[in-house]
Amino acid sequence: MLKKYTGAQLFFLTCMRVIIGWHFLYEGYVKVTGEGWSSAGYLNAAPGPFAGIFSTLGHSAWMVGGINIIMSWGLTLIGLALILGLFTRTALVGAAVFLFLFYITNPPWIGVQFMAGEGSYMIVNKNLVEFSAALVLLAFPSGQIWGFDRLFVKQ
Amino acid sequence: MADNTGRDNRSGVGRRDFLKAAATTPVLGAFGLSLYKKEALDRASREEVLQLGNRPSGTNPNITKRNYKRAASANDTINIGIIGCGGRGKSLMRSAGFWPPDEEAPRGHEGQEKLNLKLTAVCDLFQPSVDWAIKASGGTAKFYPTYQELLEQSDVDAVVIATSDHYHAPVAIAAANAGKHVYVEKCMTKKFEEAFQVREAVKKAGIVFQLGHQNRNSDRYDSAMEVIDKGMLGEVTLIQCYTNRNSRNGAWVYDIPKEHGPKSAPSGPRNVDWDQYVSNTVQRPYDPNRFFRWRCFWDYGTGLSGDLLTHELDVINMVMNLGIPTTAVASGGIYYHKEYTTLMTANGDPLDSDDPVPQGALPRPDVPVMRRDVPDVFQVTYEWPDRNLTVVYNATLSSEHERGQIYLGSEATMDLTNGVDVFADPQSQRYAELIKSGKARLNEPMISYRTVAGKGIEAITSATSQWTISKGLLYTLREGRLVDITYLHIKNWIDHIRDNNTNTMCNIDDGFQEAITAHMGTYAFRLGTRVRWDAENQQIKFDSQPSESAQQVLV
Repeated sequence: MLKKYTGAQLFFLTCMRVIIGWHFLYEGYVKVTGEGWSSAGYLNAAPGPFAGIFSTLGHSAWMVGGINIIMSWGLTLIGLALILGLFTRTALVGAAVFLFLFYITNPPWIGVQFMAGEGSYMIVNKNLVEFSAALVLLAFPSGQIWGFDRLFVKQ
Repeated sequence: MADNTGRDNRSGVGRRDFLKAAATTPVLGAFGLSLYKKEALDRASREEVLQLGNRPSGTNPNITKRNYKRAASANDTINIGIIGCGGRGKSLMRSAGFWPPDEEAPRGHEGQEKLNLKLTAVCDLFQPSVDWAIKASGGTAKFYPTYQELLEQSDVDAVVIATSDHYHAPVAIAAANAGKHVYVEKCMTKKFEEAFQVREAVKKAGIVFQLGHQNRNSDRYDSAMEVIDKGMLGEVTLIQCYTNRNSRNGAWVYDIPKEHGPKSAPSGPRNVDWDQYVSNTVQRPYDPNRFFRWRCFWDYGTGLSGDLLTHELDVINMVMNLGIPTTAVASGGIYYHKEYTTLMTANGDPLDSDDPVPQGALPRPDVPVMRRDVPDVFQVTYEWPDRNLTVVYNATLSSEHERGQIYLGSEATMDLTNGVDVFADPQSQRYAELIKSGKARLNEPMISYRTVAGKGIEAITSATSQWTISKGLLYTLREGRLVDITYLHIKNWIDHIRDNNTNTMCNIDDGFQEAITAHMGTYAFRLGTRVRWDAENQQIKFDSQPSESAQQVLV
């Protein structure tokens, strides 16, 4: 089902999609090209109730190797897809899964000694905001209108 | 609501459709352009920092010693003996590939190149340690009650010496004279004059010698040496380093096993060869504190100076290529660990020294109250006037707060607390433009290199740095893999034995400098005077002549 939007709705939905895509693409690019980047440090330092699981992953050379490839190329491909509006639905599901994992590896929950970044957080942080944005974009697709999905997705 | 899907349904994919489909594609162009600009700026900034070094690289000979690659391909088995197989000796054996089958393999063992060693001989003064080594060898090791007997064996090519400090030199000298290659723990010697004797014996015999400063192998020093070598810090006038520990084990109050007791005991376990232990030092009656906690006593150990200061001073010597300091002054005392009663549970089970004390705990009748005689707070100031440099070391065994090994330079400061962090100095001339243009920030390192602390996996992180250190500036990692630096240090020794090359990672000249530096600190403290190194005459001198009783410590 194609949505019908006002011009402003379509414009801002597309902007949001492209901006999230840009963010993912650069994060992915840095990891693909960055020498020596590894998810191991982040996994090992993960606080919160799932720390044990992430630390187990972070201590396994095989798992770290796999996660590094999935992370770096996953972020890059999702970024490209969101900017181009190609396979938008799949890319948004992927983005939401990544963002959810980022959120729970370092959850700003009360009583959790989470890793400090810029800003002040209580339960809600930027990962959660971006995760919500990805879900909004899933509910209000724009790739079939302004994006290459227009050429491939059947009406 | 208007239908703005704008599909052209009449003729499949039309021109209008394609334009709308590609509507966001120009964003990729903007992305590419931004990326190009950013990378160009980063590259220019990095080059700017590198060009600001004012010295040619390669002036520190210690750089070429690192990353040694074997020359010979021969890989024949080397037979080793272990002399002193207590706490440290066991760690060394585990790193060399020997542990009893009922123990877990050391971390990082998998994937390591095998050293092709055979453990053929063991000498230790405590029977359970001997049993451990024989089990660890798979039954190939034979027990010799004295090191002299062990060194007579033809099936021993090389020995690892991890005795208490007062046996390092006698065993190392005898081993060199017997033509055995030597790996000896720090501090290289207990006494000043022994450093000369060990150096002479090792050089005369031409054996391959390694002093056990395994932390030389840490990757961070590759980076640190490159920073120093490029002169990025300007003139370094002060280096501060430290040791902080805050546990009984950290303060060398180790556990005393239940099955201790001298050979001469009329009853009970007779596992400790006490007579041999004290045969080259002050004669005293059996005291398990003095055997199992020997680091707490001057009769057998070298105190904070030989034990922990040397870790710091040795790597500073490597990074800065300093040699022996010209002067040393020291102070300190026993401030915290004055007296210790070893406890057991109400049922008579020994308690570990860092265990919480349960109700009904009692003093162990088999262990006297311990009063250490080495200080637990200690400070030394070393000077190299010809280098315009002071190094301050201080330590306490009752605080674990981290303070860092910090190199203070006129242009920048290098902090080796967690890795390598180089901060531009706020008053720097050289980096003024970079700071002004925002390419270097004062509260963030200009350069940052990280080993993920305590996690065993080495990685570079760019979280707090403007530039990660790439191959161009500083060496890369060892394939992002967990690396046991003690294994690397032993491997370095073994590789040099196979290549018949005496220039090991911490060779006899490094060892000589380490021992003299440590003893200058110890003597400055114990004699209460400034100690000078006369490089020309290879002698130490005292600013005020110590009294005869004070001079006892030199014996």
